[in-house]
Amino acid sequence: MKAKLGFGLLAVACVFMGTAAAQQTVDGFVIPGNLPLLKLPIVVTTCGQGPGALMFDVICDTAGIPCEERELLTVEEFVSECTGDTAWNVLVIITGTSLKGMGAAGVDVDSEVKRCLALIAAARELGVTIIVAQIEGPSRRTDESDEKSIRAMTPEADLLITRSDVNNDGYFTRIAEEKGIPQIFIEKTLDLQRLLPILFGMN
Amino acid sequence: MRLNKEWTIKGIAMAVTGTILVLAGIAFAQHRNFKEEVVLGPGVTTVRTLGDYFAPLKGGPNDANVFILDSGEPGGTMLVLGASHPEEPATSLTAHLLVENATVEQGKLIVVIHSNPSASTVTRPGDAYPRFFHIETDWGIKKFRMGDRWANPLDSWPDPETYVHFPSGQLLAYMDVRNLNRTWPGRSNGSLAEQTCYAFMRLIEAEGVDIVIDLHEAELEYPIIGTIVAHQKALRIAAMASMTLTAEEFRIGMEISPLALHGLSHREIGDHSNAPALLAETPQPFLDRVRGITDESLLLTGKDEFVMKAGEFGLLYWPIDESGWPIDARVGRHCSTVLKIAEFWTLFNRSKPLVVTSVPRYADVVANGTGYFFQDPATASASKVVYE
Ligand SMILES: [Zn+2]
Repeated sequence: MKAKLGFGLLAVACVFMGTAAAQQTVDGFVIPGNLPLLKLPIVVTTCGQGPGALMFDVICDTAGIPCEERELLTVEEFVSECTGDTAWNVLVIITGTSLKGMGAAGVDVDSEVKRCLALIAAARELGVTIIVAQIEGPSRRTDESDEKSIRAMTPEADLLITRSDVNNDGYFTRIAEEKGIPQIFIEKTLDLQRLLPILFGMN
Repeated sequence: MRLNKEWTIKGIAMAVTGTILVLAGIAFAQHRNFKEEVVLGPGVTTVRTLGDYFAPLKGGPNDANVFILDSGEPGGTMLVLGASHPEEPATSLTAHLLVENATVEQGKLIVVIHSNPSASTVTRPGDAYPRFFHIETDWGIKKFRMGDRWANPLDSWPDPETYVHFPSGQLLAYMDVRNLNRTWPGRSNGSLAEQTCYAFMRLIEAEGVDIVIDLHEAELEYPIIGTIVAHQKALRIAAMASMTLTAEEFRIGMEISPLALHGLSHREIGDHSNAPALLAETPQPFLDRVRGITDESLLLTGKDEFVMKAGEFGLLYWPIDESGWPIDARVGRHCSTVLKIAEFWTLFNRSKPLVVTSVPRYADVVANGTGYFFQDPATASASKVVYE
């Protein structure tokens, strides 16, 4: 209820201030003014086969948000499924890699980056909003593969959702500023349970 | 004259060597024969041994005690494995603490304190491991065996040139034929560790186990640390447990069990039974290669300046500072992880609830110390004391 009010205020603020909307704090989250259009349903994949997409999907389930988890979503599947009635309106890419996960799936970080960049290009063409999220914190920013995944995906987002504890070097703040990408920080992965309903206007 | 001198030197060398051999033999025997005292808590309904599920183990080195805490109410059954690797003492301490404290209101909890007992009768003398460690309690000092990663060669010998995992055929390091977390699902005519895993698989069938938690500790130089590794059948439970523990108690990650890596509990138990396994890892600086003096203090405090230095150089996968990784924090993490997995098991399987109470959580163990939760065997009735 509080969140709905907050979101309403945000909308009102946007109307009054035009495109240069001000940021707003809703339920502890600092929501930037320049949010992209966010409409359900969601498809979520990982750039690196970690468990992040699964976590995102489980959270959506518990929050009653329609979401599909597709670990190895190809651009062909994405395009063909985005043309029906149940077309996905948001593509979420979770960054950070699992070497063992990639090994098991027979992929590597380079092929994952390639797959996800193709998804991003297709999403742009189809008008699907792209969220790039680092939701697992420092455990998923430890090695070169994680860095490749993060640095390839982050600049391509329409919206960034980032665990604040991976931003120690300020990389995420810097890239968001440089590219003018709105970014929302979360403290814990489970914060998504409160954040997603706010973003998708479900409260 | 010269001959005499030579014989004198030889004689002294012989005497010194003999003395060392005798002293070492006594030290080895003391360690091998020391028994830990477990006081059965209010929840324990039966104590069996692994030999009850696979007769050839009966009376042998790996006839591990199996503590059954049955609520008598229908529900889910969880098996908790302590000390798959006995050089990871927070795991056996947590299991021990569960046996002495837990009560089960719905479903059944099965706990094994030493899952590879043979490996807890030997350490790594070459690495200068202590043989014992001691935990302070309100009623005195409680003594425990420190162990190794592999079954004692006295019980399992010789190792093969190459260990061919059964049934995958994957080639593993020769000594891992004695490593309980490389011999799942085991075989009836295999090595001691393989037979032990085979017995556990029969236990899982016989007791109708729904979910298994295999407790471990890891060095900070190892990427799989501070995490829950989950079989594909338990991903949602692991994801929720990891996320809520991180939000409410302490940071813990999640990994998905690799399909092609064989012999591991989180892979094979779920593939060869109805019960998926989850493996929980805590940080244990004692296991790091770059550690300093390897003594009981390091084992219990987890404080080490060399490991910290490695952290400053970005060589670690887990943080460490002056406060180290004390045993209470590690035991507390495992206690909360077990409780949280039971909670989410129940949430996702409402027809098979598992409700475990009277187990301290992380904050309780850190505040009171692990020893606070152990009962005094001297004041317990003899029928309530079991030897590990
Ligand atoms: Zn281990």
